[in-house]
Amino acid sequence: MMENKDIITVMVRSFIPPQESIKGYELGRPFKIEMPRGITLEGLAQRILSKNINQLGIMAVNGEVAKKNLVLAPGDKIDLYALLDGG
Amino acid sequence: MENKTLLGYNGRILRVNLNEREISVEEPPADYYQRYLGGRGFIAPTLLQEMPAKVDPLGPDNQLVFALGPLTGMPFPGSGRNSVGAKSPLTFAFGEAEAGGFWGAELKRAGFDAIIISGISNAPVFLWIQDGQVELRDAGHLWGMEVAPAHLAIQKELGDQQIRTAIIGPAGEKLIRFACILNDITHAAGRTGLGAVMGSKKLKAIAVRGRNTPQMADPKVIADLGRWMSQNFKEKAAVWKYGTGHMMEGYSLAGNLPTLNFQDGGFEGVKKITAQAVCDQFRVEMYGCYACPIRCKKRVKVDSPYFVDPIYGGPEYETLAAFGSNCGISDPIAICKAHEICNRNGIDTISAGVTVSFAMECFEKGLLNAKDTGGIELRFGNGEAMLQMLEQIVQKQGLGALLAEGSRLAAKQIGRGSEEFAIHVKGLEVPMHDPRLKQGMGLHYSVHPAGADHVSGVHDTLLEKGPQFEEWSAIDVNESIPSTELSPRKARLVYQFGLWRHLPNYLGLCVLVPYSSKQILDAVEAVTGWPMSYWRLMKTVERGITLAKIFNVREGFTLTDDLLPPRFSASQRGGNLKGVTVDPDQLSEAQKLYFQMLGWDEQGIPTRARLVELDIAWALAYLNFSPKKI
Repeated sequence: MMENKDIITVMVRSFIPPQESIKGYELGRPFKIEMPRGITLEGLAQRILSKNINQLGIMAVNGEVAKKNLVLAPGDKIDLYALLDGG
Repeated sequence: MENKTLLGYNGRILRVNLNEREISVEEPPADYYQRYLGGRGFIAPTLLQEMPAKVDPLGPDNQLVFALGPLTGMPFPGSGRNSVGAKSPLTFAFGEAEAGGFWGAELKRAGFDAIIISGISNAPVFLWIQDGQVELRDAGHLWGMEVAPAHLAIQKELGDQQIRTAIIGPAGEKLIRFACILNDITHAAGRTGLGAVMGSKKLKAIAVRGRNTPQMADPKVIADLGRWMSQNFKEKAAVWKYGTGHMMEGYSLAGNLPTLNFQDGGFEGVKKITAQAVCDQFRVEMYGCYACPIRCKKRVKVDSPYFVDPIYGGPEYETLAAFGSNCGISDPIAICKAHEICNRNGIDTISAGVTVSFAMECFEKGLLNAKDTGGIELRFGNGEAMLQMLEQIVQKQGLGALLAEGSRLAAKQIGRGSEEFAIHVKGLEVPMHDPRLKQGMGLHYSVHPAGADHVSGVHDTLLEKGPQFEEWSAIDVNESIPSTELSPRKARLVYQFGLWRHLPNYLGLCVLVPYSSKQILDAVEAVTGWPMSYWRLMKTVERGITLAKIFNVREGFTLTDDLLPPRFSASQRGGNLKGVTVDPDQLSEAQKLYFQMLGWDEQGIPTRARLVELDIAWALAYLNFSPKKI
């Protein structure tokens, strides 16, 4: 199969439920998703969470806290954490 | 006369004098309920008015109060909570804790809104309450029993498996200063050592069975709220999946995961000790509290290398962090075992974990050695050593006998600078939320009458972006403030939003059940039938906080007790928060502003004007004080 140069595949783990159903999503479990090449971390979060993005706290890429304007690379592992509350 | 004007309450408070083995019932007027609501609101005026100053917290004059809120036991999610209070043997201040489970709801159905225990029994007893009938029974055969066997023995003796218990383990009997009281084996009123107070009274348990829920003003509203929560909780409360602790990796990245006795905020081994990791490997089931579909409690079972008995539930976030990252331990089995030891014996997992991490730092820095520990290499990361020391604590043997006094008193004994490693406020060990990240929480820890309490604290991180600002605007909270900021506007937030954070502990409502503030207001009105407002609810909280503060003032507490541990004035050693500290001057300024917002003076003494405004001018009589002795 030809590689689609406009698409990248990343692994996402979200601790916030997406507003719309996403195939493979399970709370706090990684799932694979395709995104347009050049997408930023914030863009990915917006696409996945939609209105629920207002619950978003810190984001990490490959285990490190990342800034929202970071451009994602193929194979990146992204963690979307909810705002940190109690326990 | 039954108080027919009350809805949502029974109108009856049970009094038990263990000196004389006298049982009586008081029926306060409706005005009392309206003024104090319940829970913490009942506890503060009771302790202030009915106890002389400076009593021995483990003596006969201390009073142990179990208090329900108006929502406790009402048939909708989150209503399984009750409060417990007394003068704390750990802090010597106002002591208070909350617990979930089924016991509180059962007590409401059994016909009482609160129980006030005074005196000391001359022999072990347990209290048996069934549908308004009350009996003190011999507990000689239960004394010394661990929590689960004692609970099961009571059910068997009384012939009813639906009986609920609030019970202490051997730790409470041994007067360990951070002993707790457990509802239904696993739901702990953990903080401030109230299990030791119960043990000092030789009261092993309070067993309850009831069948009559008080009438509500508008049952349909409550039924609708229950239906709404059942349909929506999965989207709004992530704790249903793994319990608390599901975001520990995020906490670690942010610098909010106490590590190595709060020296750091991020832990290399965090992936191994998260709630998911524990659930994936050891979970037997999720379970919950009265009328709650969220079921956020995990039950774990492990066979090897330690047997972990599932009857004692499983570790939640505070426990995972206190015995995990904060002791440098990435072995989830050791943490599960530590949790089991705590519930089996009845001690608070937060105070226990932080006291062990204190001892570990003392060991690492040469203030304790193997001779002191009985040969245990009590180093960070040594799970086996942590468990051995925990066993010493619950047995009050060796160094454990000293640590059973809590980290503050242990440090006082060890000396040589160890006081800097004792991470507490007023003697209450700090929970698993770092004040360097959550600076409003730090302010709250410092000024709260009970010490470092997180249940009623403000989580600054929730307010950085404010997804609920639209809703919270009803209580005038609508400004985004960085979590690491400590400023006048943060003091306002801790005051204004803090009152709302305290409220569930007055209502008998769980803070983890995600109701909106409007839904909470509606629930109180629907249960009690009283016209309610945010203002009125928050004034009730203010009344409770102020009375608890006066209790402490009378005990001789001053501004010098409203301190955070010096550790938080230093930076974590690395990670996201490196370089961020709590500035003592900013903290002092924020405290003064907070006090003034509450109508207290700059020394934190409530003013006459505010007492009059809160309609508790009677409390002025308790503001005479002399320095405390601990």
